[in-house]
Amino acid sequence: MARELRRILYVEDEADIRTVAKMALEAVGGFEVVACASGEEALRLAPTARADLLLLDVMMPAMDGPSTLCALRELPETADTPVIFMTAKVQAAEIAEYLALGALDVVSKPFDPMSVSEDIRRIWNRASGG
Amino acid sequence: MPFERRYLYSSTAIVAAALLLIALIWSITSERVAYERAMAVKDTRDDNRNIGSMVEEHTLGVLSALNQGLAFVRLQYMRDGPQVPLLQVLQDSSINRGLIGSIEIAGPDGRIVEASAPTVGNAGIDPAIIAALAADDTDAPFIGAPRQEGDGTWRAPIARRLTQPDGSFGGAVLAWFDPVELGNVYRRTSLGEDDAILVLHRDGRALVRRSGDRVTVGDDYNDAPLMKAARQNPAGSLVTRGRVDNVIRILDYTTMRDYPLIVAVGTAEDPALGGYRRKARDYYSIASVATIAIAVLAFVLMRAMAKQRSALDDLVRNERRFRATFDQAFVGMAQSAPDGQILQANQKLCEMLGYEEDEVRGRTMDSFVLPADRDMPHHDGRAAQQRLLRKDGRIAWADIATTVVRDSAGAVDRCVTVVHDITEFKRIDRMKSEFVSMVSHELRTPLTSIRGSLGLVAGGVAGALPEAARNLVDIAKTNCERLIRLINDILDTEKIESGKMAFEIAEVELEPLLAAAIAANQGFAEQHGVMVVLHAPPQPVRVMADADRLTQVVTNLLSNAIKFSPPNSAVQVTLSEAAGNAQVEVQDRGPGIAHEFRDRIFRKFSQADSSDSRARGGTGLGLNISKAIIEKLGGTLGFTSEVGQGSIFHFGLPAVVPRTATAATGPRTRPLVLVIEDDPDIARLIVMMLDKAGFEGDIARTAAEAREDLAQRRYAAMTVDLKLPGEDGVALIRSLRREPPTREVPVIVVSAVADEGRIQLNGEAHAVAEWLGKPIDENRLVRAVREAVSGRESQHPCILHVEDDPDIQRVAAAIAQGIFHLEFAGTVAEARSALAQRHFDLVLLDLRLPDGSGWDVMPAIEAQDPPPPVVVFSVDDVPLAARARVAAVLTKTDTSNEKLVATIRDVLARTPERAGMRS
Repeated sequence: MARELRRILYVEDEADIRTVAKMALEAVGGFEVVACASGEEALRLAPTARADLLLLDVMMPAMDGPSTLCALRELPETADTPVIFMTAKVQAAEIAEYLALGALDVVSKPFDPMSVSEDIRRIWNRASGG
Repeated sequence: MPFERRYLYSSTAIVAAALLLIALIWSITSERVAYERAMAVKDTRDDNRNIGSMVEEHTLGVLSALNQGLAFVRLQYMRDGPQVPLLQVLQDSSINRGLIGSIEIAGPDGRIVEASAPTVGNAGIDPAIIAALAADDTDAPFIGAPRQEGDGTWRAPIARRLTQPDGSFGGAVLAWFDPVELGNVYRRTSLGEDDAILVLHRDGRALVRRSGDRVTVGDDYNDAPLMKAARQNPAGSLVTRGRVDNVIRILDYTTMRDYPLIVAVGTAEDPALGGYRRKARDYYSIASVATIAIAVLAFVLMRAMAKQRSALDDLVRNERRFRATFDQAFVGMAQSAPDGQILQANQKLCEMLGYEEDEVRGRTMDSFVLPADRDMPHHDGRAAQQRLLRKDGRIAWADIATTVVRDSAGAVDRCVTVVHDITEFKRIDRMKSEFVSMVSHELRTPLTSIRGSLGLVAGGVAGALPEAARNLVDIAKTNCERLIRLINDILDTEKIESGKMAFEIAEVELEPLLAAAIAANQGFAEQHGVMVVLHAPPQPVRVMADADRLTQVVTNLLSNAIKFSPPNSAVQVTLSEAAGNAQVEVQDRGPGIAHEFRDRIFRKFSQADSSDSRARGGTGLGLNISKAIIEKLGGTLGFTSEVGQGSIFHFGLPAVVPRTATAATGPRTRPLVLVIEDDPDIARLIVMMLDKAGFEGDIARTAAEAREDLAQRRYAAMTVDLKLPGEDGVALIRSLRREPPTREVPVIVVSAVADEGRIQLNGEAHAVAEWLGKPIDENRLVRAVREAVSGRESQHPCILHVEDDPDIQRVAAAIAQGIFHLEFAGTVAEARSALAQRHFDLVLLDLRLPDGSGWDVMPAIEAQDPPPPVVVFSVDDVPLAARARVAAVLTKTDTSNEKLVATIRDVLARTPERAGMRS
């Protein structure tokens, strides 16, 4: 995983948050973001997204974050792509659950748009280094 | 029998007994009195008859003498004719003993032929006498009625018949005598003044009556009761009132054989029965006194009973009131024996559990609690929220509090458990939590967008902003962040209140934590132009706490101090340790806290001044949350403040002594004992006591440390304090008992709440080797550890007892004590899991299990290598075909404890693999 983080497959059902986060990640962080409005869209776009990282919202209608992750793991392109959850549900037990699903870490909502890119890069580097 | 009826019966019995006794006394008395009277009367009669005989004899004597005189005169007259020397005859004392007053002789016509004294006129002998003598040729003397003379004296005639040689009537010889003479015998008798002698003619005229000095003659007795009686019976007795003197007498009479006379003796009743009357009076007095005594006794008895009854009534009433309160109580209540067995459960509890009362009785409260919730302490007043498994399989939430009732000697007598049904409360609470959580999350979603957008705009991502717009965006961004903090604080408050805030307790060194918190708030401090300075002692200060939550508290205090500090001032953070307490102070030079606000400062949403707080961007929840967190960690949070000078907020937590690395010491030869105790002084004391007794002690301060130690070393025994921070001792013991490496290590509980713990752990056989209270008795401790250690070395055969009835489990545990090591499985599933974990020397198998038949366990038993022998211990009979699979079959109903032990021993002895199996 010792490569640079460039492309992020981002799944978030809330359009406003999607827009803000995409802007923050692209404008502040300089990442390339493939934003999806649902798990289904993510599954559609994933094969061609060439994502280095999956950034998933947890609470979504129909397919939630964890089930989206499970479905993505079925695809060869995203079978072992690192994942970070972005959620407001950040109680200790909930975090433990995400980590058990294989997440690198969790970014809590509401996020600071000016620092969220930095946070994600730190998590990425920590995972690569360790 | 209910008391009232018993009382009724016994009081009726007392009255009946008293009446019976009184009746008996009176019947004996009256019988006795009657007897006495009969005796007195009989004595009187006997006397009367004796005297009567004397009177009769005397009368007979007098009459014989008269008769003889007459016979002599008659003889003379028949021989010589009317020239009998009558005066001579009268004077001759050999013939006349002074009885005959005068003699007359008359011819057949009644005319006087010869007389001793001149007769008055020419009167002959009374024609009635002549007629009577003429008509009677038996020569019987005739006695006539007495006649009073002119001088007042009395004389009576006695006459005999003169018979001619041809047999015809020849006249009469008649002598006059004094009838009073007949009564002269009176003086020679023992008769008293009022007694009387009576000689009556058969025709009813008295010849003489004598009583004391009174002598009467010629009274007519024809109508008297005496005459009436005499006409019916020649002799007899009667009681009659004297016609002359009105004296009542007991009268005895006889009719004389040769003379037409009746002799009667009368004794005055009063003097005669005087002795008897006195005796009767005595008897009646005694009887009366006895009657009164019995009545008083009965009364006193009944009064005493009534008192007792009223006391018992009170008791019964109190009991009824209690029972009614107990039964009708809105909360579930149970009374249980010291061993936890429920003796009584009220209606509400039964409703909560869905069982009938007799199904609840005999079980323990814990047996209804979901196994996962059992570890929560609920003794002595403290309530724990636990889930109960209802009979219908549903779950009920309950607040369970158990109070121990001690008897006068201080021993546990009863446990009273109050079970509050909080299912509905829990549901509502959950709804509230879900609502708060949901709302908070729902708020966060738009906030995330707003904050993100504002952040990007403010960060210049959308291009540079004019100054005015930039200020406005900053205001929006600041308030948005404040709103987010508010939501976070509300969520925290909700978690604290619902008890859902989880604490991960670990040893925390405070200085690094404070330094990190200060660093994290550095930016904020710089914004306010405030410097934060940390003062810490050279040696590390450690506490047991959740580092994240403690950081939250420190951050809150720091941000408050920074917010309220004037620019260019310093916030002083001071760490110190004194008397086992770690203290953190955060001091500012702000305006201080107004007096009127000090009371409310820790309340929710309380801020000194709302306008002020808005300016400072607080939520009003921070101090409330901080205080709650510190208190949950076992510490205190407070403040001192001086208006205009600043404030100091401080919190203290128990400092922990650094744990000496147990692995550091070299090889140990002495048996190793793990001392699980959070109080360092007591822990050191126990280790010292053990050291003296030849044991090596390691100290673990928490359940987590104990587990760590148990995983690393092999301990011969452990002592457990029940009140440990975080996970308590009971929970620790239970979990250790579930894990194979630690389940064999003997446990000695050393705790101030040993009794309550024993109740909680009751029924979990072999969980604890010994229970010791505090203060610690060194001898008992050492003895208990020695016994536990040696008991462990002896390695009893290990038996799996598959049995769902907790009572039989208890009995089996008691029987097996010191002979076998018993492990229990209540269901097929538990049995399988126990068999999967370890090898058993024997399986004692009940066939009726809640989740299936005992036979379902057989494959798991037979899968063991070597398969342990099976002893079926059930109420069911085992078919012959199945008997081949088991070593022995015992029927519960006809197996004594001795037989059970003997059978198990026998089966173990017959199992050859055992010797090789154990080393």
